[in-house]
Amino acid sequence: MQDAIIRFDHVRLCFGPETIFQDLSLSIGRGEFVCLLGPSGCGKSTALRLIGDLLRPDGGSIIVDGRDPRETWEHLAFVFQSPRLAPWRTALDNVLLGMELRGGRRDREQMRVRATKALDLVGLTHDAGKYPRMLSGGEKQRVALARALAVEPQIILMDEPFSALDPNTRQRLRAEIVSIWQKTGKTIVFVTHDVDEALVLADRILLLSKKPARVIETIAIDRPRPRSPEGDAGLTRRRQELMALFAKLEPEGADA
Amino acid sequence: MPSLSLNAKRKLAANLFVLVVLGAWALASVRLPGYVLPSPRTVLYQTIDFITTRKLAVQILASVFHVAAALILAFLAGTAIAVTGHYLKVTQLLIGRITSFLNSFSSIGWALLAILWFGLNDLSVILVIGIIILPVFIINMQAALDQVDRELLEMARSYTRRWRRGFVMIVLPSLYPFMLASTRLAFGIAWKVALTAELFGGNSGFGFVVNIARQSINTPQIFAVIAIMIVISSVADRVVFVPLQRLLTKHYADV
Amino acid sequence: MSDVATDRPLGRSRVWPFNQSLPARLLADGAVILVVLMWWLASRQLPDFVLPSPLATAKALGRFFVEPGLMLAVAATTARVVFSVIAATVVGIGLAMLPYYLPSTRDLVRARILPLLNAMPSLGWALLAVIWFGVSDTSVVFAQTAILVPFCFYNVSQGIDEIDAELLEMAKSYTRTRALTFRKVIVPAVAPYVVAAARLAYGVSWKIALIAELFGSETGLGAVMYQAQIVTDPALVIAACLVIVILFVLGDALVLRPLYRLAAPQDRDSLRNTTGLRQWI
Repeated sequence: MQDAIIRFDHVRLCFGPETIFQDLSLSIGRGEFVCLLGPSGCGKSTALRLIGDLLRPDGGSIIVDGRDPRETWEHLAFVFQSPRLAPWRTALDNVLLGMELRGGRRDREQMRVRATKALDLVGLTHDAGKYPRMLSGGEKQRVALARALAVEPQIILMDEPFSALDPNTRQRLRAEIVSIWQKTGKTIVFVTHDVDEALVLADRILLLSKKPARVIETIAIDRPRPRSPEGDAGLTRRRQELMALFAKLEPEGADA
Repeated sequence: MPSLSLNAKRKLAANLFVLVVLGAWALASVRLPGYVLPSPRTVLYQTIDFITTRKLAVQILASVFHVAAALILAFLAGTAIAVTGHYLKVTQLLIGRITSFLNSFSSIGWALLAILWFGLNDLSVILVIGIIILPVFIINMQAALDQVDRELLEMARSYTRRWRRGFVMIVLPSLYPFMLASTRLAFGIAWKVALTAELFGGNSGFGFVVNIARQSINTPQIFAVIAIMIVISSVADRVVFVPLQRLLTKHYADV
Repeated sequence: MSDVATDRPLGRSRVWPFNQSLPARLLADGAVILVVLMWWLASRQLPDFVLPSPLATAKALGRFFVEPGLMLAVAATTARVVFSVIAATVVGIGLAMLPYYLPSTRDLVRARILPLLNAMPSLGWALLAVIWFGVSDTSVVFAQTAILVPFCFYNVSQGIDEIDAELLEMAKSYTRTRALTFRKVIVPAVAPYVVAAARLAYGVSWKIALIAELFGSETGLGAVMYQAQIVTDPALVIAACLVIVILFVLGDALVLRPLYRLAAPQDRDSLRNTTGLRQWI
């Protein structure tokens, strides 16, 4: 890859006696939409935390945006599996929270403008004054996405952000995240264990093995968007290939 | 009355109960000497007298002052101790020991020691009340700190590496409901032990009044003081704590 | 429902955490030694009737193990504490169960009896008990029980409130015998709360309810403390307080904690588990 924004070289990480990564290497290009796909518990989320410097590797090297993650953690923003909103702040104030935590001497008015814009982008213009408890699961996750967008990161790291939502909401949010990505041109690293989700979203899918995880297959998806698995012969073929690979990873066929 | 709703039955039962108790009290007081059981009427007059006499009203203020000062001191000390223990793991064992010692030390012991050390004055009373409610704050604030949402903390860490910002924007707001709840709890206890502390260690306040009444076997006076204390504590609870708590839970309740 | 939340059924022991690091032990033990040392130094500067030396206090503490009069006081107090804890637990259970089986009494219990018991100062009960029952065991036990009832009530009724409705429905699908449901579902569900209530009441009785002995009795630790204070013998006051701490800890560790573990086997391993984010949590 010519212009890699994220690069792992022989990364090793252990939690006590447990080896999560023995020798993980991967690279993600600038502006790419990459899905990390793998069986449950293989360390996909851990890889995101390494990118965002919430964890340090035990060996190997990680380069994010040309430097060590310790220097570039501010170039990216997380969207977690649960929305992680402060229940005492309104939607708008939760979006502001990300910027406030980042700090810097920015004027309040400008921050509000940006937060409002981010809420517009995720389609919550009219819910800015609501508290999290008044929002549905999908709306809460949108606020979390707006919070990430508002700090204007180069990279957005998404950790199974839609897995707790109902199928319809999930589908709608997938379409939205793709259109936001197309509008903003950010790099998105999206963790999922859902083959169909990866197929609909990604430019490239990195298939991870079980622990200790490594990339066992890189699959480029060059189908036009918006995609749907039905009626797209190319996608259907990809799907069959992936399913076959996946079945080997999860012999029980548990919850792919 | 076959067709009363459950709620109506509940109200009826509760109010009937009060009437029955008052009636029984009035009847019993006729038969018993006044220093054993004064009549409801005597107690009522005595209470009104208490509030309207300036000299006695001042004693109410003295008690309120004692309790308020003790609450503020214990709140600050307890929160500081809990926060220290939470972030400086080295001190946890020590703080655990201090807390369990304070928690099992006799309240009357504190009162008696306070007189020996500080004499009969406001300081004694405030310190005794304060040290009795201190473990309430320590224990509750420790629990509150343990319950701060870890996911929210990780979220904050992904946005900032400044510990202080995370503390001010995430940890502190998460603690507010617990601060209020433990203050409410401590107020209830403080208000009750104030009487003890003042009786032994004070020269003002309700306890002081009760002590004099006790020595002159002025039972109606004792009843009146107790009645006023109960009224004040339930009014404070309803006018201050309940609305505040409602406001906080509205915004802080987890979804 | 705000009162007495200091001891919850799921309360985890913060008192004796195991696996403490060496520095933590050094700090904790060092602080104890330092306090005793400062106490000793201060006691040399101050007269005995203000601050007795640690040694004098230890001697006074020793008296409780040899002098028959003081041993009797300890026994009398312990008996009263145990008796009133049991009585208060029983009354608390009764008051908490009443609205469960007779729904129309809910407001009567929760909005009339409880607020009154709750707001009543301990000293008020002690004084009323003396006025009504004179200086006697009855008056002490009455006052202590009255002080402890609200503590027991709140814990037990919390347990009743938290009985799982789905579990009850499950029980109903298997049996229509109310006694069986009671024995197999309700009792085990509420038992941890009852024991927690007794534990709380036990702690409170040693701390606060002792006040009943100051006025209501010429025997017992409360009376000993009061006498010691009158003749300005602070060594004996402190020693009596320490005896109370010891008795409290012993009773809790030997009786109530095992009882709680019996009543709530599922909570046995509820130790704190900390993960990552050390300096942030």
